[in-house]
Amino acid sequence: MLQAETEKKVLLEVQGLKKYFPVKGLGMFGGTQQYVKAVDDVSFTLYEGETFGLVGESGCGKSTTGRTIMRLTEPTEGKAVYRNVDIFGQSGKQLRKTREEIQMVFQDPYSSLNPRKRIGSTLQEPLIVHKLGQRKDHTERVMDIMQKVGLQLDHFYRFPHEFSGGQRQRIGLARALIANPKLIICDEPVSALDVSIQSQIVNLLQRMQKEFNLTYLFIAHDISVVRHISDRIGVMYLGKMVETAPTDNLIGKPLHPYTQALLSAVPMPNPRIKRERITLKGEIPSPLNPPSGCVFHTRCPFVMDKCKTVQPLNKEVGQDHFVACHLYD
Amino acid sequence: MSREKLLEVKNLKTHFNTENGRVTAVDDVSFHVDKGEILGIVGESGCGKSVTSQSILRLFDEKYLVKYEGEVLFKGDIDLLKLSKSEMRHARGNEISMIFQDPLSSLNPVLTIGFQIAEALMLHEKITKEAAFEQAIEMLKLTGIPSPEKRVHDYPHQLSGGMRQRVMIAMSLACKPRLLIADEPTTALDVTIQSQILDLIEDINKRFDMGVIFITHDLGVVAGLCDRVVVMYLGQIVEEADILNLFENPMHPYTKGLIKSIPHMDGDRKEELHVISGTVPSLENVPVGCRFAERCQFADELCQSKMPDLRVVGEGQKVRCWHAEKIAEQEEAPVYVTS
Repeated sequence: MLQAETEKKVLLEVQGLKKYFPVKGLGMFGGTQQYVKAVDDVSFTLYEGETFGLVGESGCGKSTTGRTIMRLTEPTEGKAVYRNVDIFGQSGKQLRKTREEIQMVFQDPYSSLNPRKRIGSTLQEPLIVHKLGQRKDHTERVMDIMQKVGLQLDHFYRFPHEFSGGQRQRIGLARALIANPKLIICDEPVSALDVSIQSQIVNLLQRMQKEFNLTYLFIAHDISVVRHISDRIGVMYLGKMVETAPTDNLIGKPLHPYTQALLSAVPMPNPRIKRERITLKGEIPSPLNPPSGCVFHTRCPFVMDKCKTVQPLNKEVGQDHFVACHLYD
Repeated sequence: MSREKLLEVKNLKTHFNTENGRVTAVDDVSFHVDKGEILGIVGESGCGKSVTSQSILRLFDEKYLVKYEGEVLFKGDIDLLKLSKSEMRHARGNEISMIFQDPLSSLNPVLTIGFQIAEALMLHEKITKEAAFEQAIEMLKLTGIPSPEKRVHDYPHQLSGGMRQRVMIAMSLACKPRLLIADEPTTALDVTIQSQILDLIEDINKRFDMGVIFITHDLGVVAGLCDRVVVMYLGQIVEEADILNLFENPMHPYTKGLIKSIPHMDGDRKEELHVISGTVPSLENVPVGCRFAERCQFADELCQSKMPDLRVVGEGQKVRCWHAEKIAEQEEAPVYVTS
């Protein structure tokens, strides 16, 4: 196991990613332009063939991180090095080539499918856009992928509204797979689904990963799902990455007080476990005006004076286990 | 052991008139809630759990849309389905109140939250506006809202999701109801906020000895909160059990499947998740036999042709399955390793 880890190949390296959204309307008398710091100096690495889970509560910037890597929104600062090339410096043809290799699966497959297009032609589109293969082979390629994700061949001529939520997510995955990507960014792919359908899609994602040697960036708020699918997990809070670690380390020995609270709040489907919940005071502060020092200090049960002024740095405290907290200085 | 029954639903059926004819969203549902008990209703989307709860309060348009059958007995002898409009209006909010999934759409955006809580009080009790506001502040304090004296003058958009849900709870508690119906109250909230709200519901349940019907799709939430659980599938109850039996000795194949298909925090990550094949059939063409038959791995001819009744299989446990005992012998109940 250890040996395999040293041989891991880096596929994508995100360095110091920042995404600030300017807030419109300065008021009558001008003033300084304010920014919502949706993602603030986030770094992480994706290794080939692994799944990196990104968890956090709403507004923590996990989805923005995924969308910025795809350049669906432009980054403010930072680098995303994909196979030795910075995606943020690319444009035109190069960017299109990168986007062929990095695909995305969204939370709501219904709003990401064109309601007026038959599934077959929706699925063919990536092949046309990226000029993959011969036109006459397209149908066959689409049928092939449809079968792989568990759709029937007669679904080719149907419209999105004729499908259930689970099947639409299969279509969403098929659309991502068709261009033969290396990396798929899954943004809450199972959050909108019922439990019995959710497990079908999670299994399908894992099977496809094995078959096509895919790398996943798996963004979700449901920690038990993320734990199940991920090799490593990053925890975000208010635009910052507070802890990154291999899954079993993070779940078994969470170090950051936020991670500890988050894990203790996950409802366990076992009535005999009465968990000692670490209830956090208050709510997530506004990203428009984040707290000074450590962003978590307003809710942290272990807060020290230092936390209020000095921003903690991301330190490696164990094998591949990074945490940004003054408790571990 | 026998506690006082607060609400008893007997053979409730809720029919909807749709363009494609009549659809029975709740089909012959019977259950009861005791005083001071938290009953969970679990099921996936479209199983009729929300329609059941809204039928109890008769929230649907009875003139055109909906037709009820059966009885909903409150405090033993009051049949809610037979009450007149004004009697029903008196019961709602006063005796039975409800909180919903999305607090923003159930709060009036142009009125302060203080007024909205006071309004409920002024409707049901003869008190002055000042006294009502006084009590509103009291209620907000009870639900753990910081500096309630200032917050009463806030509008819903000034509050976060968790705060709004607290306001909804404060409002529903204002008249000290005997029964609180909570329809997925934490689904839209983040986990850390969810745990705050669950603590709050548990606390008020104990403090006021209030009955609670908690509707959710999340088995994890059920495990930590409920005393007894009803599992619904396609408009019917398929299993009823107390909380320990539900997780340790589930009898219906659907219940078993649900429990197995959620990823456990201590489960084996290398293993694939359990899958219930297929999807829920449409209410417009429900199967003749057992409604779960086409997704059930144990289904045989009997299941396809004849619908099983909800029958008693043990202390406080009921199941709607022909072969529950046989299946239980064949496979072991899921085993939990407590970490």
